[in-house]
Amino acid sequence: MKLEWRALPLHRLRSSLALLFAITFLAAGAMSLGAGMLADAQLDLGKIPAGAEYYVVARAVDGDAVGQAIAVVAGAEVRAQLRAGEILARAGTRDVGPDHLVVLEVHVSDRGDVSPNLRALDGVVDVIDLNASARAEFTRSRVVRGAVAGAGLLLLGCVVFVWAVVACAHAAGRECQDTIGVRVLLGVEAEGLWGPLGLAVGGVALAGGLASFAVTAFVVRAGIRAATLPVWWELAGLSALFLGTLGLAFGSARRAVARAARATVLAGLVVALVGVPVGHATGAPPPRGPQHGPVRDADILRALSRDLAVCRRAVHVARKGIAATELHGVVAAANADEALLRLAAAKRAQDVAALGEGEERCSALVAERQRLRGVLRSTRLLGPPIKPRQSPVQGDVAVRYGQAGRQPGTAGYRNGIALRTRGGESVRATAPGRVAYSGELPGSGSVVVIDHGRRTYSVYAKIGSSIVEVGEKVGAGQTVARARPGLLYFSVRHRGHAVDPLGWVANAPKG
Amino acid sequence: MVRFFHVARAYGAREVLSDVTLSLGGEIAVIAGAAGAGKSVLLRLLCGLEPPTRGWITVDGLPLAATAADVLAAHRRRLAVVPQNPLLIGDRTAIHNVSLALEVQGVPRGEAQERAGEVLVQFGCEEMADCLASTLSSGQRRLVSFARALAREDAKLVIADEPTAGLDPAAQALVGRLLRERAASGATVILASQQSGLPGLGDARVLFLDGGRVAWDSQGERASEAS
Repeated sequence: MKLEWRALPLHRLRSSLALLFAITFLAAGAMSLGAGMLADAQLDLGKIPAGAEYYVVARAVDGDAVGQAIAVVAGAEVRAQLRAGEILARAGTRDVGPDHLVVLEVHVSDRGDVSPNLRALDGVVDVIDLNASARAEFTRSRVVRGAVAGAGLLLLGCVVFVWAVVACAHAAGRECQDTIGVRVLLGVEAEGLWGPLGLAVGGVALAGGLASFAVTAFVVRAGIRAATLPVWWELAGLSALFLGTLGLAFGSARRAVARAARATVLAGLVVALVGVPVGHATGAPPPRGPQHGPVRDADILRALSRDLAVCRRAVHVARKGIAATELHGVVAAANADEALLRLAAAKRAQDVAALGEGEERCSALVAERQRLRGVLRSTRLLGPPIKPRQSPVQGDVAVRYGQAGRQPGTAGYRNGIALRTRGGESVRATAPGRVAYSGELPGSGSVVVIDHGRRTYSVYAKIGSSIVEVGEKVGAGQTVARARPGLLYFSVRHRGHAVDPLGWVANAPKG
Repeated sequence: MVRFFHVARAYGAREVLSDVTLSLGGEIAVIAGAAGAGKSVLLRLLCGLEPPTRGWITVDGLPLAATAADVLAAHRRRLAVVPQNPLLIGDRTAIHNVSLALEVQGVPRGEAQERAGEVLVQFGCEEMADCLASTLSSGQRRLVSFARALAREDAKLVIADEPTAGLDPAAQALVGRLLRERAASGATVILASQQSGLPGLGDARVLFLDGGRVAWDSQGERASEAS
């Protein structure tokens, strides 16, 4: 693949790329912030206290009695009993007995505040709540809210980032449409064109994303955000950004180049197709592409009808104008006003000529509309919706659509399916229609083909015997043949192509 | 030598070319027919811009339908194509537009510009060489488009869609003479036109397309007249 670096006028893309940078910067910022919030939530999850912790300070003489009394409080459990001297010794002071106070470490499974209950016990001097702030700060609902908000922000950032890359690639393709078209026509490989375009778009998007990550890292270092992302999160995010952005940019650029080439080169060589001269003559919108033949004709037909209405209105106004001018002429003649009479005569001649032109144009438009209606009738798939639809026999599917030929003995069921049948079983029409063929075909035995309209046919082959005649009208579920024991070949053809018969039957129009 | 074997092309339900079989070589052939007869589609197939729905096309033995994209691009580098819409790059000068056709063939930029200048002189467009393509009139753009195509002196196949559209009689005669010279040097010149006759191309082979089929071929007519 030879990249045509100088091929594309990248200077035209300055504004698109600048906008892309700004959007990707913001989107990556949102992603980074969302990921940080998720990381925070993960950290906070481990900090949610399992219950309340208290130091219950009691007189030494009442220590055991208080311990027993605490057990009465719901969910409370004494985990340790310490002398005051032991606790003070933690600070480096010498443990000198005897102690006047004892401290009971109490765990209460209830996260609510039970300190008033504990304080009310006899012998209790004081109750110290050890994790009140942690209980208040790290609640499960708060952590979940943080995680949901983070995930939402991350998702929003991703969606905006992807949208920006795809939209910019397509905008760039449109900006460079003429260059792409000319170069493809002159023989430049399309890969050589979408390569630089993808690289430009991907590079700018990556720059936006990385700049945003750099700023986020700075903000984290500055201590504005509470938690930093784990290293593996950062690495995974950066890898996804690199690979995803470049893949997306190249893929979008490829489609954009293909679209631009089609729009220019094909337009350059296809102007003479049916719709265009009519469209130009009548001011109708240009056709959208060669693939939309019937739609384009319909658009032109609508434009024609609009033009015809305008033209008829103009003819009507011209007729009224002529009548008014004639009246003026008669009045001028009665008043023997020579100048006004000549003026009226000249005006009438002009109006009559305009009327003639208008009528001629109207009849031309009517003829053109007639012709296009004929084209539409011949190209559009007319006819009522094909329904109801049903399977021709009750038996199981032996060979599914697209599986024929993969196993020995199934090659004869290509473009259709094989259904198991019992000898003499009725083979029923899958939908209403008219019998298009009934007879023997080499390799298929007896065959019945039913035309359902809309260029849709169903084919029943390898049957025992047909019981319908060509041209006969059949309803859905009407018996058209008797099966032989074994497999029935069932196929549906729509507009010249085979389709999955089971899918076709299942997708019958509703109502 | 260009050969079409039972070529058909359909867009959705509409078949715009049906069972076209013909061979062209070392001559000027005018594909004539009314709007919608399938002329431009035939040229697009010939340029390898899209494949036929049925049948196949060979250019000097190269089958276009079953060929990889890079080979098709190489095929287009050997063509001289004049689309109906001139397809110039608007923010480039006329000479740059012409030299581009040579640059994509690998000709160095300096040499390409020199040859482009010579071709523009042939077309009487030397004064507009340094004008931006977007500032040219439609007739001038058409001439520059012709110059770009014919700058490829080694092109064995010259394709022009509606070659006379937008050209005054003098320019039509000039283009006719240059196309005749190109055909005399062994190239196959294929023109699509709503008219069957072009100035200076009275003896060209005419294939009349109607409803996507070759309704009349002057070569067969002449053969029958000769016999």
